[in-house]
Amino acid sequence: MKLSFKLVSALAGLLVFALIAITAASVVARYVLGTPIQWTEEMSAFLLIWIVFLGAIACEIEDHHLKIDVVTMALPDGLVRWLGAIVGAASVGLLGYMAWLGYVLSESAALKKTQILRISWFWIDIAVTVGAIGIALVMAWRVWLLLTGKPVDAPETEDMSREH
Amino acid sequence: MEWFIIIPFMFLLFALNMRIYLAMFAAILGYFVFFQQIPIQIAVQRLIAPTQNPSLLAIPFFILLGTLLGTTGIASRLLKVADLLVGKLTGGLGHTNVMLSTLMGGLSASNLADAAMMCRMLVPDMIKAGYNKGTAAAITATSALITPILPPGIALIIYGLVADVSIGSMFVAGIIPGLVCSGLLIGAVYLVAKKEGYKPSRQTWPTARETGSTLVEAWPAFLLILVIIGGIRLAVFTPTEAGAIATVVTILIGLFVYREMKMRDLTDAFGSTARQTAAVLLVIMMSSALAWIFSLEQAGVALAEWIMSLTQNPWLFLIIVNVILLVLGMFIEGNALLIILVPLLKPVVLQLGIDPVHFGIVMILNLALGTLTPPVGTVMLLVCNLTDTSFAEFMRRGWPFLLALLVALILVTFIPALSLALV
Amino acid sequence: ETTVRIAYENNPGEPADLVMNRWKELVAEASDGEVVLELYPSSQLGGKKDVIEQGMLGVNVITIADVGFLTDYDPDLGILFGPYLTDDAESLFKIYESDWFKEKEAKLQEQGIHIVIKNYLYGTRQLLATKKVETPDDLKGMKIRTPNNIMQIRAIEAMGGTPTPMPLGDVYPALTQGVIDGVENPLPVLFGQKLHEQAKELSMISYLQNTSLWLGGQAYFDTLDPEVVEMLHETGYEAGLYSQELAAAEDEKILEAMQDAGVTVSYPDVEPFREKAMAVYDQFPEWSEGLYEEIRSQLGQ
Ligand code: NA
Ligand code: NA
Repeated sequence: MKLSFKLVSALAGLLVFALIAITAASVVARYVLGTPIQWTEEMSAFLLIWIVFLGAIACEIEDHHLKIDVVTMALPDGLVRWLGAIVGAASVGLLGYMAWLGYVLSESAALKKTQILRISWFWIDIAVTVGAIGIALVMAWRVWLLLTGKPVDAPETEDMSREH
Repeated sequence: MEWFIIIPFMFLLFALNMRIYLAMFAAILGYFVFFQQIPIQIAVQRLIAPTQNPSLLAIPFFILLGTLLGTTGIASRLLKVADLLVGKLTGGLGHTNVMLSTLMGGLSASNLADAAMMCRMLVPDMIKAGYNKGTAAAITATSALITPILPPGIALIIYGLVADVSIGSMFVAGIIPGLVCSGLLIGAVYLVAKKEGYKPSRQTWPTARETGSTLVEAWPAFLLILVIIGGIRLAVFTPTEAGAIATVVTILIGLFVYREMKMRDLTDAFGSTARQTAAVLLVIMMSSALAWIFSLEQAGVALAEWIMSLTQNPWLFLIIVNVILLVLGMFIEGNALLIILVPLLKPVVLQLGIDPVHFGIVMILNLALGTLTPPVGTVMLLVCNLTDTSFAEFMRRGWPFLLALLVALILVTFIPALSLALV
Repeated sequence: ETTVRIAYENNPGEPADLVMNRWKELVAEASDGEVVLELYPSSQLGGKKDVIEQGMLGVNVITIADVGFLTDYDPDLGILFGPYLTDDAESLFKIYESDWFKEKEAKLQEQGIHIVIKNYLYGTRQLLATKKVETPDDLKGMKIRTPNNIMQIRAIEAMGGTPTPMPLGDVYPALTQGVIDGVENPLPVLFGQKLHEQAKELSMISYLQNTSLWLGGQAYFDTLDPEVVEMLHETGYEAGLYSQELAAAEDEKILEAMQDAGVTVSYPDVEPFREKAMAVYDQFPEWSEGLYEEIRSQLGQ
């Protein structure tokens, strides 16, 4: 898990780097060189959706997705474990369905291309499928840990709350 | 309105500790399966749509910028400067937090970006200085609300377009209400700091020598601010792009001037930016899909008719609108609500003799408050996520600041001159 | 009772909204209230691409699209969005009635797109800038916002400007800050977006007769009673005629309003612009052989 976290996180981080570089380059091209880069907008939108869905996989591994634990905090540990397994399994189902729907949508949008770069919308929409499958796998692993009674703490990652 | 059952269903899933975005997705799917004969893949299309909106790019840009300001050592120098200025006051860092948001509010159009930056720049130091984590998070989240009210703001532009009033007037109208929010928050920070005994961070006012050396040491930080403000004012780049440019400048300063940043910090920052962007954007995406359902069901029409049937008194009307928006703003994306509701409410607003500019500021302030309340207030989610604070803690510590903003909303609602004096 | 959804990006009160409200009345009248049009302005159901996609997936929705938007289905259609293709919109509409277009229409239907209105005039595209533009030379180095549409990008480029694509919603602040120097669109859009608050020089270069199509998914139209479909087409044609009337009337009204708001209006000689713009017709290798000549001959020019 730790390795897959590093890989996915690094890949998503690389896309963030590309996003910054492209935006900065487009400012330079427009202001210094006087020739705006016309595909910046398309490319940024393309990168952002992949950042979200790849980032979401890494975020799931470190168990940092947003949730409201006010109610479950008041429940006994054993119950929380079972509830976690049931909700987790339901989530895996939801994500599987999301992945499938994303694929169907990508297929039907494949003909449509972006105006400048002529990227097929398939490559934009399919980010949902890739992301949902990735998250579902992580969640399934967590449900398995819950059911077999193993500790479920997120693996040690380069923690975001690390002090500097 | 049977479909509305998906909302309590969603809240049930929240309570069961399902991830917020998945609970929202379940509610959206429920709608498609049980209440509309529409191909379900459109649910996914509605999720993707907001990511194609360039103004959301500000979120990763400013999350990254905030992280880098910390790792490069710029933030700590800036803090020393802030400490010089207000450190002698009770609750100094809290005031700095509000003041910085007010200053940034005149540049940035996004409260999410502002909140992300402050979480990175100020919260760790506030905690070090003895602030409760929940208090620090709440000050950061509530003061971020100033950003969309002060011009420029995305909501001000959208309202100007759908209500057909001058965007210039909306910009001007936002100035005093924004400052009122700022002033009330500073008051709240003062009272909380007094009660909790947050000591001034310094005992004496600084000497000339200390002032001089601190300012000199902080020159790259001033350069950064100059680049951002100057760049936007001189039309070199847009406020969204400013985030990217500032990031590049920050990296350069970190690598070549202060040299505190390691390569490892840099790669970590990119990865963590992607993860935090994902956590927040997934909720925004779901919330905008819910807004689509709201729109498809023409729920706005029913709602507007209902509001109009309740009263013919302008003040009562404003109160009712405020209450309803506060509730809706808790789970439906604010700008989408503006687009759906403003055209429907505008005829009544005019008929009741309410100035549409004043009404716009009331609505925008109100919807901005919606981003601070559970369960899916986006700014609250972002801040809680970035500072590792639970919602319960956030609410327990944050209520004085939320109350201050509520007072601001009441003042802006009942004193039209606050919005209209400068127009 | 049948309810048909109509979705568009324009705000309430803009010409597109007025025309759709008229269509709604026409439909109510023609069907004795049996068919109801439900209007969704301000991109409430999503942007153009998304709503067209919804329609193609079988959702009950009709929306507006430039021909430029359909080039993924047939590249040739892009030419109908070409700069200075005809002198006036009227002759452009003749092409939409020609055999050439009927063939294209049938092909689109096979691909799942059903065109309802094809005589809709969105407006004539003009240039609003922060500096006076009277010749193509004046355009040199000026950053002109265009939609993210390859034909308009190339047209502005050919005439000497520097095309800068960005979403319409970002144009107001971009003009305020001077990130761009001008913007092209029909007058009602320029005025509706309040861009005259920030740019005070209007150049009536009329470089593009912007016709638009209102269309939905064939899958949805197949579920409708053929009589209803025919009624929609007939009333839609009436609505299209109204759009042409309205475009002319609105232009006049807005010119006046803009001048009252301190905008200077200039009427440059369009000949030099036209000459430069012609370059774009050689820039689309994906078009059928001799397409430009065929269109010109269809127009009898
Ligand atoms: Na602002
Ligand atoms: Na702040």
